[in-house]
Amino acid sequence: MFQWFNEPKINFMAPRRFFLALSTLGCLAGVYACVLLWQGKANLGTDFGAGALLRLSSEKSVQIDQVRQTLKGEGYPDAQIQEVSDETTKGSSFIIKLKYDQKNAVGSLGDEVVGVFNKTFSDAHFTLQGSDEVGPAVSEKLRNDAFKAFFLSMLGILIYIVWRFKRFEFGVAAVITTIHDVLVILGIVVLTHREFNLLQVTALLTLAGYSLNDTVVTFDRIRENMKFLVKDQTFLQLVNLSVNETLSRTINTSGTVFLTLLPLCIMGGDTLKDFAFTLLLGVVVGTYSSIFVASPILVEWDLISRPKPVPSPTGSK
Amino acid sequence: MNRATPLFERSSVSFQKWMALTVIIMAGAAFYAVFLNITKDEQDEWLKTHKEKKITSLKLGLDIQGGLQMNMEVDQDKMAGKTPQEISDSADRALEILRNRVDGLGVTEPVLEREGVSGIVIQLPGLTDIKRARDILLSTAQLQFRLVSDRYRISDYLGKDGKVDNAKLPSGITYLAGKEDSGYLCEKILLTGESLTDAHVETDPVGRPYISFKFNPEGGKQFGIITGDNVGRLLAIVLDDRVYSAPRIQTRIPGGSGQITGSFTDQDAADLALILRAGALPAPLKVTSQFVVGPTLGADSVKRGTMAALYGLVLVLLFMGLYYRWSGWIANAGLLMNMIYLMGLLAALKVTITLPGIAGIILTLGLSVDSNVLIFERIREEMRAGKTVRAAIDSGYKRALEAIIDTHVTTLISAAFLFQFGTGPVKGFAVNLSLGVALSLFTAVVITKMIFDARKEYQGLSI
Repeated sequence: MFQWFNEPKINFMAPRRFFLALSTLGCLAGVYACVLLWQGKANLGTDFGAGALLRLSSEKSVQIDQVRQTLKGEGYPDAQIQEVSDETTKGSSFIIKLKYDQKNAVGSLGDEVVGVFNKTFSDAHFTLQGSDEVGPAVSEKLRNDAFKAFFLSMLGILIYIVWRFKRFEFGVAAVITTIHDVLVILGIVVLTHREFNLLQVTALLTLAGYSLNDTVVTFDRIRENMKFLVKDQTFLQLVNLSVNETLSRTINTSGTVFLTLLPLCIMGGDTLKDFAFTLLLGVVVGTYSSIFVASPILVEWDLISRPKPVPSPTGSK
Repeated sequence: MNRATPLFERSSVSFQKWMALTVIIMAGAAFYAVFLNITKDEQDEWLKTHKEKKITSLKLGLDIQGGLQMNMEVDQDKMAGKTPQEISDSADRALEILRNRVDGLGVTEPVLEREGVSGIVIQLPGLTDIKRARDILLSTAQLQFRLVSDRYRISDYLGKDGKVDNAKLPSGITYLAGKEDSGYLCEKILLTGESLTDAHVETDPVGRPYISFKFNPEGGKQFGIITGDNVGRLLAIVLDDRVYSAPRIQTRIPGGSGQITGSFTDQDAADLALILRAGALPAPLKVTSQFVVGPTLGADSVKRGTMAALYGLVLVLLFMGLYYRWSGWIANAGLLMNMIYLMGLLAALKVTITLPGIAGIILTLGLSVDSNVLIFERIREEMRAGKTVRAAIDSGYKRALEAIIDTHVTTLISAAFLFQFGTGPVKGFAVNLSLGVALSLFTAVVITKMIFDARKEYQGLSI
């Protein structure tokens, strides 16, 4: 029988306050990310931010600076341009993000930019590989729908968690952990300027459901161990023992999901790479939080709620 | 001993046999649904637009096979004062007309749907000539016949900027730009496209295409009267407020047919005839969002996605096989069954496979063996606690079940809301993930338990 650890006895609970502080910082970053999203300052995808995402490739290579100059000259000063590797063409491939403006009908930007490029770079033969063009009315609807889906789904998951753990403090700890996971990942995605789009919301919701997995396993074990509380064992020791006992399980359940997502994150196309990356983050953060957030909350709860032992009168032994 | 569901007690031999049979029949059905359930009609239809034969009945989304999606709505600015019911009715009629136009485009499996009060969604797989599609679909195609005024001259009504000043025009006179020339001052509408019954392309002796059209009897009669009364004058043929041609009426035209000439390419002429045949839109349409995926991009993404899925599958199979040995391979058998059933279900339910949908399948791989990890770790623990192998297996399954259900429930909650509120591709993800995860309760728990139960005596267990 192969095992990562043979009856591990790692004291996970010792640095718990350090990790709780770290996680609080992470959550604050997530809240800040929410503010940025609210103000529209985050890097929104075309689906949320009304605009066009064009993917063009040429038959002869063209410098990205020239592309930038051309777009600026043609009245698209805000264009974001990114060169992408593309094995299907000998020339260059670019992803161009434009803000939607009133002068163009939705859906006509792709042809227009290709036309401009083929006039400027007459022998490069640009073609439109793909485009997403979203008008303001649709992006507003998508934003609202994503918002609704996100909150209703979080609410559903949280209600299930509270119902699932019959003990109040377990429910609260699991709820906090789930919110923590979502906030931290949202913070990382938004603050590293990854594009925030409908797929990212999908990833966040999926991992909100998934991150509970590890917490449930650890908490179930804690409850079980509480039935056989050994004499002189503190609650902290019991939690630590439970985390150690379930360590292989926690690592392996996360590990299998990690392994399946890793190839997608490395070699998936543009659409799926970011999506897989967020899900991968979710797996890592979910594992971390079941050990360093969920369980420490239980311990701290126990320390706070337990009545302080009455100091024994001096002299008595 | 408390009694759990019979499934997780050791099952009897006859029950096992029935279960094994069910598993095999289901796998066969899945195989049939994916690879064999293609009718000859579907195959012929497919071969019209594709080079290779259709090998699976899995439905591929636009982001995979390439194509054009346009979400449009009845232009509300031009429908001021109309009730929502009227707007919705015109969207319904517009949909029918668009259906006729799309039929003429020669696209395999186009999708046209109404959405909301005034929305229409069109998906055209394999079509990437955006300009042509837009010209054909968005053209209102209001055909009008008007006499060109012989009393007023354009040069008398030019504003300071050299353009026609509409405010100065006498009443009853409209200035309309020409398709190829500066334009005409036209009198009132005499006949519209509603009187048309047919339109098709013909070529003149020099080989130039023109469009020949036919009126219905009533329209034909009127056309005869109009041409008879106005011999020698110019008759403007106007489409969407542009004069296509304004031939001089040589003689009364009986018989109820006419033609539109101009410098068309063959394609232009064919497209024009198509939209005239299909009829005019009751109201202008406005595109609200549009998605184009070129065939190479789609093919490239699906190749990457499929390779990623295969690598993910191999990694998980190896991991489970190496870490849990023989038991790991039992889990792997369950995982492979999950994939087979999932494909079968996707084909049978005609679920559209999108790129996020592929990610959903990949995530299913990981979540499915999760259940086995939970079970196996339990079994190991029970064995360490001194139970016999047989008892450890039974209680391992029983005691891991609660945690397994938790993961399934929360995943299904998220998926349900994503399905409710998501767009097409996201829906694909939600559907694939929920189907896969629901199936895994059977494949990762029931089937693997069955395999463990097939052996009666356990001396030891490779786990």
